[in-house]
Amino acid sequence: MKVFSETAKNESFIRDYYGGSFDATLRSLRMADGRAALVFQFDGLVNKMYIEDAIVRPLMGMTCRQERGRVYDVEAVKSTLVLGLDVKQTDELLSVLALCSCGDTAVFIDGFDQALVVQTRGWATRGISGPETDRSVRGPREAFGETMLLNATMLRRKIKSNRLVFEVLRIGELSKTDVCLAYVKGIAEDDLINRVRERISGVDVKYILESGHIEQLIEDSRRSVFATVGNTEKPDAAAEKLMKGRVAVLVDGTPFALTIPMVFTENFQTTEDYYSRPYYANIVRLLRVLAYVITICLPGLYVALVTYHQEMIPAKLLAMMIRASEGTVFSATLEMVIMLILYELLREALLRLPVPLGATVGIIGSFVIGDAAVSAGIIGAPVVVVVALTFICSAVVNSCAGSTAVLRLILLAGGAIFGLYGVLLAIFGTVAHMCSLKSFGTPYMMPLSPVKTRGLGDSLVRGRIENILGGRGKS
Amino acid sequence: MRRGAFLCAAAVLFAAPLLFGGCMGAQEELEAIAVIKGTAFDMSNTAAFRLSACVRLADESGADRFSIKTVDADSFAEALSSLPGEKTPFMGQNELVAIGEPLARRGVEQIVSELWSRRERDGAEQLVVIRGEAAKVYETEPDKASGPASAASAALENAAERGFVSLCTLSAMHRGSEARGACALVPVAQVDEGQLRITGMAVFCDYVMTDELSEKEMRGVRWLCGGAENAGFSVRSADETLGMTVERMEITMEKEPGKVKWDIACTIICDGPDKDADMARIAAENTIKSDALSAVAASKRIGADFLGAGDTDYVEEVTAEVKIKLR
Repeated sequence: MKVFSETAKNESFIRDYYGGSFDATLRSLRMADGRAALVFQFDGLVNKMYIEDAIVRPLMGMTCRQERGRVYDVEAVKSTLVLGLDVKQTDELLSVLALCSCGDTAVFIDGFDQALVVQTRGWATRGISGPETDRSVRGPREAFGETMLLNATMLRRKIKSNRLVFEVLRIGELSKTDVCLAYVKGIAEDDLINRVRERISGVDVKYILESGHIEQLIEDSRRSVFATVGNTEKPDAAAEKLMKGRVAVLVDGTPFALTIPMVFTENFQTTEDYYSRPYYANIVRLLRVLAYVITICLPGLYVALVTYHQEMIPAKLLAMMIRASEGTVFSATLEMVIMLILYELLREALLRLPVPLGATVGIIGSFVIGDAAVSAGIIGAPVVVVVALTFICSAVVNSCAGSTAVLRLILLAGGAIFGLYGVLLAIFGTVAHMCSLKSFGTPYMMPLSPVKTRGLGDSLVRGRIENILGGRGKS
Repeated sequence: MRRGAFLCAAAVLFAAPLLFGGCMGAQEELEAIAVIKGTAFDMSNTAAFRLSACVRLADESGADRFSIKTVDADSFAEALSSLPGEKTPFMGQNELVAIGEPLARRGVEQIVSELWSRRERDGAEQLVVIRGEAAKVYETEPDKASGPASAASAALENAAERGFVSLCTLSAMHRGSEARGACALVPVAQVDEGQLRITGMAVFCDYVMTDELSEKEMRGVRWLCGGAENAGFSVRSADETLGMTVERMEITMEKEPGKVKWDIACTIICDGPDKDADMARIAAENTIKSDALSAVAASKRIGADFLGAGDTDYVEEVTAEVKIKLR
């Protein structure tokens, strides 16, 4: 579809095309030379002041530098009248409209079958706020926002090298979402970049609203419980990964950047580990590993021990547990399942509710579960302790909450049906599955399996900082 | 096709152990188990033996109480299944296996083998022979919160730590009786007015109590086999009795054709600072030699190699060198 040379036809087409949407704003004006012009933009996506100053006023001959002569072509308008920094000239009407839906402004001039598209993006944003999911005591407090350009800027501020490249793709038949690939040329492997580009380009869906949509569409093993694409809302974490050879994917409209490839040990790494001295950082990192094991295994192990292997419980502890279980209504397995469901419900409620109400619900929920349920004999006290410990540990490794919840249930089922043998078999199967996973060609368990000595310097423990920052400790 | 066959084979390989692992369908809730803290075996007129089990129960206040449940049976599995009570017997915390002396003299192979095959405690239960009726051992120390089985077990451990008693676990008995020519020593105790008193050691050969060591022979075993550190004993010297405690000991056994020689070197703390150290040393050396030789004599008499010398028909020699520390 070509641009019409009559502004009236363009106006009519646009009105029809957008079905009279209130935000599709058309402004007809008469230029200084008497020629009719049409300015089109989406209200709310643009900087109106900028449009007035850079487009409307010059066209109407109200700038200091008056251009009273006749306008002979669009090129002359572009070079002498419109003041915008980024001005494109095109005759494809649909691409003009697509750009307008991203916040650009189109100028149609009567008698010319071409349009000018001026970059006038300027919608309201919530500004730069702190991260919600990965808070740190030491380190930057800023998080990505919903604007892709702003997010790219935040990365550019961290990595000022000319080797930092941003590539923009547009996906989603209806949403036409801007997706930006970020990588450091020379550090990220070309094969990886091509692979990411191909997979994102190959996404054929009607809409993309969040990076989570893309994550699920491009990852290697979509049936696995393990995420093989990382995500972060912290610019410093994204920059760190870019410097380690990852590709970041910024999606317009979401504060979460994807990082590709992702390996299992990344679940236990935070940017703060690199900002503090190695001794404490390593202790904390190992604690995260321990927390991960506990949060997955503890419910299953507990049920297996109390149901099948009571002889493995120390005598005094067993006596205490028997006393606690006297008079309870349900079996240990059912108690555990009830508690896990209750916890997930409580967690979900606290996530969705407003903060003041959430605190109230949290207190009531904890009290009901922790005290009333035990007093009423519905749940045994040891189960409450086990579930509390499980979820404290779960909070430590929040980055992989999705996979831990599923694995916990699998191990619980194994322990409830087959005892410790079932738990061990489930662990064995899980580890085997993890070893078979790949993230964009990189084994998910790298550098542990296959063992890569170079990567071990920053895996479950953190090595010397100069090796990591110098690139020799690439993981 | 090959992939499908491989997956089927893998599934069978995984599933088979799950089905035969023994866990499936064997679950017991905690409130449904009766924890057996100790067992006692006596002769029965109607069956192979009489089992008395000391079972821990929780009363309504949550405090522990212990109950003795008795049943006559021909096998241990039968005894457990017919034990009175609604709850399932749980042997995982069985601390003590008491055997009545008459039954011990008849032989305990069936009991030890059946207990050993259960493997819930991996053979860590303490064995003791009780003079008379074994079940009486659970009538001692009724007021102890830990229960009579734990109290009896603790008394045995204390006797081994501070005296010359050798403890014997179920696995030691199994090993000792299974090995050719070997034997097991099991403490012998009797219940006097609610108190457990160790009186000697029973010698078991092929699961049968063949003889009993006196207190002197029992001490001799520890002098020759070691493990007497911290043990207290008394000796007669110049018409008075001296209390002594073994601080350190070192035993050397030399074997030559037809001859076995033990050298015992030990440091002993003697009570009474005003005593003559030389006199005490000589008295201690004489006592140790005498005890050791009586143990050797017992080994010959019984025909059991509980000293680990290999052959009982040997020419033996024992030397003892004692250092005395006066306290």
